[in-house]
Amino acid sequence: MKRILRFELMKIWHPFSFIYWILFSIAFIVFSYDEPSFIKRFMSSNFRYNEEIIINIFYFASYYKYLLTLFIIYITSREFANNTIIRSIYEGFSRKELFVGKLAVLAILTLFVFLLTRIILMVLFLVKGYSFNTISFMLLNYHFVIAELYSCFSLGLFGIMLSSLVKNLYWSIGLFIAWGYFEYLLQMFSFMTPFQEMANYLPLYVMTAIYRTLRFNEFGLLQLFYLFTLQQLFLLVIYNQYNHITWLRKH
Amino acid sequence: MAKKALIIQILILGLLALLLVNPSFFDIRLKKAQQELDFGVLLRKSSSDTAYFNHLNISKGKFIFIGYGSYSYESSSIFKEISQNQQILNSYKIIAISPFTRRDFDAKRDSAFSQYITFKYGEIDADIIIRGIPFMTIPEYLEQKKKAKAGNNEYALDYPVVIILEDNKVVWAKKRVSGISGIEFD
Repeated sequence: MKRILRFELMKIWHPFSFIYWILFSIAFIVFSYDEPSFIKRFMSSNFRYNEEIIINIFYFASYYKYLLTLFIIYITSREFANNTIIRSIYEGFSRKELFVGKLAVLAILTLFVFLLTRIILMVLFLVKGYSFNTISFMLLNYHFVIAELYSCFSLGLFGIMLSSLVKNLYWSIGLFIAWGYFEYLLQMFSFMTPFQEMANYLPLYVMTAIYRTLRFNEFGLLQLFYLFTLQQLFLLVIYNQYNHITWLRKH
Repeated sequence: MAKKALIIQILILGLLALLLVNPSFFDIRLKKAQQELDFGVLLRKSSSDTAYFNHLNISKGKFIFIGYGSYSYESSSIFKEISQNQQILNSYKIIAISPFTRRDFDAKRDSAFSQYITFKYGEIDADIIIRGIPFMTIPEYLEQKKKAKAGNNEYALDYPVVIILEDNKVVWAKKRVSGISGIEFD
């Protein structure tokens, strides 16, 4: 386990990752301090008032999970595309070990991103002058903590699944964005129909804005099992893909 | 290996199940956190926080606060009647209060509807629209949700509440006001 973890972390230990996460933090600070004016103009059809800011921050902050997923897609699909993953099997790693290693890396990254975003949000809320009660409620209540960690992890799994299936960086990122956009459209159209609860079962939408589900529509048993089975499905597909790693021929 | 995986999966399921435990705890915490933004607190004399009213000084003048539900016809009729009554429009400033924040699941319909009332239907000049203040108790809300799930399309989430404030004093306040005739003006 230690060996595979060291191997996986060695792959991430690269200037690209540092630049990515530094840019991520800067963007996160900018977006969560105050929304840029073009977004304000785009989103606001009514007046905006101070009491909405804390909700707005959480709304924009929930999209950091997409960036985590893009990073995961970047590292996994490049491994598949460049055949480095099959080379590591020649070097003595078993396929199961690689699978477990990837999951462990995802778990570590999830924790890292979670801590990073919580710390930034904590500082921002303190700077903005919210009461300690509000900050502790928004950041530290166990509902949000579990939901955020779980949804981050599941979205990461979705990313790994996509990249292990498609095995191409650009295609998998494109598909991921297309899927997100498709869900956005579905969700927007569902509000015009009687099937408004459908939005609660769109995987990306649910996982990004899980705090919204928790606040206003109580988290039901059905939804819980749905999320869990989705995660199981992702895991199964990834396990299968890792068990059948072959040398990828390039035409 | 398989044992470990199973244990981890059960742990994850257990953690997820924690989300189901004690949902009222969540509401209580939310209420506590919202207290600093609570309208009731603002109306008291001791409160010094005027975050809502950067645009408007409520300590002087006459105001009508109308808290309305998402799609209750009663509140829309109040807005209509007020918009037709020029005397009230001249002497009072109208402040609309919505129970939901805009970007939440129900709020999407709510905001569409409030726009409908305020800008299209009644063309009323609400001086402020305040959002995110529930006028319902939690059991009331849950009951409404149950009704909606059972197929009751009258998803009237809230009854309109009218508060008349004159020179920082609550002159008149009532829940479940169905029309302008129910309001007592001086």
